[in-house]
Amino acid sequence: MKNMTDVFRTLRSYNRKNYRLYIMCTFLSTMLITAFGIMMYAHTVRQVLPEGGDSRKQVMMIFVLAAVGCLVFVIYGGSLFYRMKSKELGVLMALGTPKKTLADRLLKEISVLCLISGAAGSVAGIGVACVIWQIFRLCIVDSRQMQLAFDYRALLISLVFLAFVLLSAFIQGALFLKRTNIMEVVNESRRSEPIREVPSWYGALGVALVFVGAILGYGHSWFFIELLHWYPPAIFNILYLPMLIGLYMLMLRIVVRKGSKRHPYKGIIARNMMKFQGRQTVNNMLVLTVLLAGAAFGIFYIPMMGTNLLMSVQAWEYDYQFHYREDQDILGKIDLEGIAKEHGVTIRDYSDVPLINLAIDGEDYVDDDNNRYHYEYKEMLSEADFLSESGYEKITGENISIGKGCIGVVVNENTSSYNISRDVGLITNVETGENLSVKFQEELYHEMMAGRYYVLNDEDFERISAGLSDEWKETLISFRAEEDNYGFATALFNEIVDHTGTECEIPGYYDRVVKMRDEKEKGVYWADTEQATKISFSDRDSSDFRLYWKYMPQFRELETKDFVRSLAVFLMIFLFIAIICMAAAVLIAYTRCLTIAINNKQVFDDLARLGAGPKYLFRAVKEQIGKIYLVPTATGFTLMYILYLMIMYANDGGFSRNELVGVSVCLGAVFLLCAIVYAGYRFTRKKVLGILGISTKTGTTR
Amino acid sequence: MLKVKDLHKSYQVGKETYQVLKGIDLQVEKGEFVAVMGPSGSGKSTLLNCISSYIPFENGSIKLGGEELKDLDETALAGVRNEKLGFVFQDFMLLDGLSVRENILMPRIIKGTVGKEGEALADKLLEMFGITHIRHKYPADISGGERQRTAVARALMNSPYVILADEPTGNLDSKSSRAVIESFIQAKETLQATIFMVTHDSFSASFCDRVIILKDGQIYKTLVRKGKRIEFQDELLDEIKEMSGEE
Repeated sequence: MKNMTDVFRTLRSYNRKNYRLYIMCTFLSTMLITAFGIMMYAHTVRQVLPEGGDSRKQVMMIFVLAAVGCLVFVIYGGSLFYRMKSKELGVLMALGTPKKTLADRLLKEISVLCLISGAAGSVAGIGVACVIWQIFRLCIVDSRQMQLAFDYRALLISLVFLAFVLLSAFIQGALFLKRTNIMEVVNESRRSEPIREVPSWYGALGVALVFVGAILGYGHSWFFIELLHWYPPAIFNILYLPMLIGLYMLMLRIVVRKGSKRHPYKGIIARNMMKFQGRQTVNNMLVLTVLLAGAAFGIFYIPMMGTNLLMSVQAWEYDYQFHYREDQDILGKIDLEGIAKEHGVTIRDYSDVPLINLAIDGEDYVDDDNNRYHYEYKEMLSEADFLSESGYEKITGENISIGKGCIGVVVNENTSSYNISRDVGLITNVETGENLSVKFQEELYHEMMAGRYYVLNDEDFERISAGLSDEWKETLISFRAEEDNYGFATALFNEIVDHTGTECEIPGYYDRVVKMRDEKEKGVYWADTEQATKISFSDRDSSDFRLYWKYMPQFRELETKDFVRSLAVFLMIFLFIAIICMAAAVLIAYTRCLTIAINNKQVFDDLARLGAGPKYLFRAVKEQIGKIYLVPTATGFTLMYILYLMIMYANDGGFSRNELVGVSVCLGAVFLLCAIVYAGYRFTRKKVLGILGISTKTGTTR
Repeated sequence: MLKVKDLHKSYQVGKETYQVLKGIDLQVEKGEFVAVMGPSGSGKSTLLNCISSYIPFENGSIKLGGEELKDLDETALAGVRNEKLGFVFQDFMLLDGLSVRENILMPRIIKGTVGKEGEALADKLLEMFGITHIRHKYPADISGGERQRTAVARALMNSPYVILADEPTGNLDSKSSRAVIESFIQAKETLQATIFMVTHDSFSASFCDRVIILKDGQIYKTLVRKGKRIEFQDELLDEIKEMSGEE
């Protein structure tokens, strides 16, 4: 050994475990973020979750939280790395190595470690994303829409994350070497991070702040938009901050909590050990809570969406219902019966009733400057579909009586005013300009047609539809099927799509009344631009098509059997989020527990010398590790569950039956997630017991 | 060789300021073996850390071979630590990843002057302190006494002006302690090394030429060894007893 290069190489080789730990932290974090980024920026996902949409914002929020969590994890890994190197660096300083020499070598070492592990993490992240995506395609659904297409922005995310990792490592290194007190550097590895006692009300205040943060964060947009008519900028999301502060206080309280008055010495080892690792433990537990809440968010989305859809389908009055424009060459009853016969299906209760598309009046949101908006009354606000009273009776078999100049609104218990307005006062024949003043008369309950149709008195219907061309007229077909099967449903669906012209290749929100107004006022209709979701007959199996096509038929067999296909992208995105967040959380908890074990090995050895048996030591380990897993798990899942309930309630001021079933299924999902966390805990506990040499089976300590 | 004048050092703990050294004056001549004793909190280790330039001090002066340490910048201080000072710590502070011989060579490696002459000196020191047989072993594989003798050998590698030893026998049994103290004496006699040692152990201190007793950040008394070691140890014990009685 002749020079410092040799010394550093030898020390590196000796301390390879420490290097491995740091490399692992950086590698895993970059891998998770890259995988998440690839998913986020995949063409399919961007199409399904349009820019500015709520789902996109929520996914983005979880992504940011996961990124922050991973960054905190890397910083934690960095601090462990420097602590482990502190004695070495302190001795070298004490022996007269200039700080500049150490800084140059250390920063070079850190750069190489970060870049290599980060690059490997990025590549592995691409692999992980591809593998999960392919597993999805193989096991669940394989459609053209589900093809994975990379976007360069995903790799940019990876690069930006890596830059942050590198920057944080540099800052940590610079701060470490900046210390003038060499003895502090030498003793860094022995330094504990005790946290001061906190008053007992910290816990209660923490919980209160969590709720305040949730209400402010979630409710502020409602307050500004509804009451002040102002769209608050994204910075206002800072109102969620009390949630994090509250969580921190809660964790702090849990970590420094004294023993109970009745059993003051129960769990004293775990409690005090935790207290003396305080700061890092609280930080880690906070990150774990956020990540586990993110995982719960991902998982909850699936049952909430799924149960709602499946329960609605179960309640449908007909097995088949579809509507088509009169100017389209769609199959007649005889053709339909022919296809049914081919598939051994008997059609019964067939009905075809006319529908007309009219313009309705209402208040329009008009955006002003400075994020403000105001309402403006428009006689022709949007397009709406109208049934005649007799048509409605034909479909439902009910007897209704809609008065002259009145309208009925078809609803079910989930229908809100967002779906269909009760305040229509004027309806207009777009082609003749003929209009009719109307007023809301009653709600008509029908599951299958809920939120879609208005019902007019027969006489009014006749009068207002006079002069309408086929473009504004439709037919609504409904029937039940005996010996119903998937083959028939698919064949019929394909026949309908094949017989529909490209002028009908439009999403459900495509509104010809708005189009006319926008083209007149702005020259272009937004839904005709590139930003709008594209519906393509060649992608008829995609989520976009199944969920958003304006003329998408409602076939019970198709909805039930193709449920996964229709929601494939959503399932994948949210499962992906859950997997990434869970993986990150378990990894962080595992690393933290292992660090505690390594740092406190001496304590356990001393306890064994003092006569503590394996059972006592096992309990001390269990209490320590259990707390690191249990507290964030309980807090994260409970918080997200409550947040979901709040969202459900805030949507329409109550809980519908479907929502109640959905949140019950979510509770089941919580148990599933808990089982995964428990498996992680058991694995970690086994590893820690191994490190500490505690064997409960043989009843010995090594 | 080492001259400390009116040295003041304080620590800030929260809003409180604790004056640890309150004007220390002392001088150590070449080839002298001096110990500093005193109760906990008397400022022994702080004094040593200031002389080592491990921690900064507010007022006073520390001169090493006539050079004022207070005026030196970081890089120059690193040079002083490498070439003009040798260190022996209570918990050895050997680099666990390096062998005994490599640890001894470290000051030369840092200086960038290993060469054949450096290697020969390392081998000579290994032999002098009776640790040649463990030269390829690692710190984790040798005893506490052997580790400390390795540290003494490392401290002598660059022929420093002064060896600063902080409780060098604090973690050792009596047999190993004696072996370490004997290595200091050997270094003093063979290499004319100057040794400045902080200790709470009267046995170790009794081997020194002079013992400075600190109390509350000030020099309480300086005792010079005149006769036999055992008599000097009794004198030290009496003095400490007397000092404690005063409290």
